[in-house]
Amino acid sequence: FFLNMVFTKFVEIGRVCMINYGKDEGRLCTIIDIVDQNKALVKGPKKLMKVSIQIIPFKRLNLTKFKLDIEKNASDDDIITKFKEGKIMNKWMKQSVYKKRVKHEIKRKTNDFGRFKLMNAKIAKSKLVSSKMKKMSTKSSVGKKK
Amino acid sequence: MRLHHYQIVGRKQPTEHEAEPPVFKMRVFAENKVRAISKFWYLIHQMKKMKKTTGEILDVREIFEKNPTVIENYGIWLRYDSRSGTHNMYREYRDLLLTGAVEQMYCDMAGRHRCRPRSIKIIRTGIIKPEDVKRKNMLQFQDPKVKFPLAHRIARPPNKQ
Repeated sequence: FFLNMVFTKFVEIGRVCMINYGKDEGRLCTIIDIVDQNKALVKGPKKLMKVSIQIIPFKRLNLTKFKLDIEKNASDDDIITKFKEGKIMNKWMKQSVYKKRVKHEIKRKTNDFGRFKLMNAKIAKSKLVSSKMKKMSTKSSVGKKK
Repeated sequence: MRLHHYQIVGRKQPTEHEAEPPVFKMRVFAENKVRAISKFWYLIHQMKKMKKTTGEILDVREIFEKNPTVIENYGIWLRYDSRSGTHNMYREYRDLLLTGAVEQMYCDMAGRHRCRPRSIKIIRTGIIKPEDVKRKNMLQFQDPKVKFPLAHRIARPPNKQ
């Protein structure tokens, strides 16, 4: 029952978001102004995140838990210093969301040989696991017989 | 289609009777220069005794936004024909560009009033200061510390495929 569900990530000026659609997919950006209930003005400064200033709908954004303390329409340099102060990039790379995206990217890019190697690795791993399991079960059955 | 903001200056062609006809300037929103000129003649013909065949265009200039990276509140005064009459209206939109706000207005009028672009005539446009904003939906976003959560998020595929 979600009666006491609390929102922790808000759309607000300074919120760092990840773009999840379009050519800037996967990149971080900061909200520098809000247009209306559907759109925000956003820039990951172009020098830092390669995201140019643009209006982007919230449908295309995933809010992260990071928020910068910036004014409306903050300058690029402002945002970059706040980014570096808060070590946002480092913290972002530790997020599971980011790690999963990286994993998916790697998997998507593996070629047939890579998939073959993966298959062999899986087989080897499952062989190890099953042999261990067998040993454990025979041990326990020996114990039970007694 | 992307609208552009043009300033068009025109007058009647000078004749023996009238050597220096008055010059009129009009600001028009159109997709391109050709349509802008056409709209100029259509509108000015309704207001003054001037038409394309006896008139001349002196200047057509595109007007660009002064600050295209800052969101402004735009007020648009318009006149439109509904099914049963013609009315005046004042609408407000938030956008980076005046042309963006005008595009929003056309879409909004079509959606809310079933009003086609041909029935809409823009009387006046302007940037509204945050203190003078009238519409409740716009007032919400004037506060610089506005914040809201995104409830009911739906996972979307990252591309059209």
